[in-house]
Amino acid sequence: MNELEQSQKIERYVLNRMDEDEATEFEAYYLSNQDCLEQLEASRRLHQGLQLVEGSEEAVSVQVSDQAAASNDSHWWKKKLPAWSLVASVMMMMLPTSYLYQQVITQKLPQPGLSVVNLSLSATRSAHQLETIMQQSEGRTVVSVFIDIELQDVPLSDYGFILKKQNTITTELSMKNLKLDSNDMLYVDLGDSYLLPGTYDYEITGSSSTVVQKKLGKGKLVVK
Amino acid sequence: MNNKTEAEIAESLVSRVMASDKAAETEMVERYSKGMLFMLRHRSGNQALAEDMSQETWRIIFEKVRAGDLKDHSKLSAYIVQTAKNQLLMCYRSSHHTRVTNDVDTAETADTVDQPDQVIERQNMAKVVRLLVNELKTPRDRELIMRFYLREEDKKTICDDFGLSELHFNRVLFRARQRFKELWLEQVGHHNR
Repeated sequence: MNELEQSQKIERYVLNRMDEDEATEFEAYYLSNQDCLEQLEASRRLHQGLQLVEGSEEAVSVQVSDQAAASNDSHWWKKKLPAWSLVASVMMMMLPTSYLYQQVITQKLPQPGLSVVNLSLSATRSAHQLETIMQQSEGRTVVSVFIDIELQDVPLSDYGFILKKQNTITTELSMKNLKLDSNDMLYVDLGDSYLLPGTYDYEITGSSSTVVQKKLGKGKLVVK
Repeated sequence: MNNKTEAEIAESLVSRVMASDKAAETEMVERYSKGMLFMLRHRSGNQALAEDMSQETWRIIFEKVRAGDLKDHSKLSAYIVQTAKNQLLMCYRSSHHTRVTNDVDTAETADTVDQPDQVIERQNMAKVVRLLVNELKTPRDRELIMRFYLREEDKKTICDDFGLSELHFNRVLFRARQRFKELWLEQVGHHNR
């Protein structure tokens, strides 16, 4: 198989345009072919990356500015993008806040550097609070918390995260209607350089249609 | 092994595995596991399930190869692909059966899309794509990539719209993919997780 044939097969495979026999034959071909596998991986990432970028608000603005720059080109983005941009904008307005937040967590455009900090939970009534130390990040910070749902006497569907500066009543951050992922992990996006150095108290709450808001645990976050 | 053909390497590996050569089993896994994982992930769309299936597939392959079930040793790649496909099929059937007979689906493997490493992988993909799109020299090349990959339009339609030959079209795609690979290495530093 020459380079051009391989390239064409890679695109057709990644976009699922092969029939079953051809796909099986191609799989046997690339199974031990390191170069082909690297090309396949690049093609898969390119495809998925474009899908991620397409759904982002920033992509729309890039397209608009590019469109202006290429105003002499009658082809540029005129055929279909305005239609999906409009649909995307309308959907963004219609989506519930909680869903939007989930999208921000999972599909937000890339930032230079992402820190994921795992928080521990102490029992709400415990006098001792588990402490997590994190460095102030120049990039985006996401905190994760494992929620042991087996400890819940009533199933909870929505979760909240409250962050306060220690010994103050001022809430730095409050999130509601968060969902657990399939591994019972709660992810909270703190954004870019959100937290100044200092000690913070956090609290996790849970709620459902029958439970208004239940405290699930707490802890201390030290930002250095 | 460098100058041997795939068929010769496969024959040698199978013969050695049949002779209980443990090093051959390791070589076999090293040679084919990345491809098998890619294939299972592509077919299932689920990284966690693909990893589970990969383990089970290797167990079956070694069992069968040791027992001499693979008649044509040179067809090892095809045999691995077929075994992996069968495992995936059995998993789906089992999952469906469980769902029908017992409301609780215990066979389904949850995907890992929300795991931090997956979140970062998606961040990197979007970041590198944005760099690539900004680098593409002409609006035409950008639109071509978008229409082919995103809207999955037919290649011939795109070529006709732009007045391009298929060869030229393939060159644009090939260059974009090569550049994506380079940017990925620059920005992320490795090919695979």
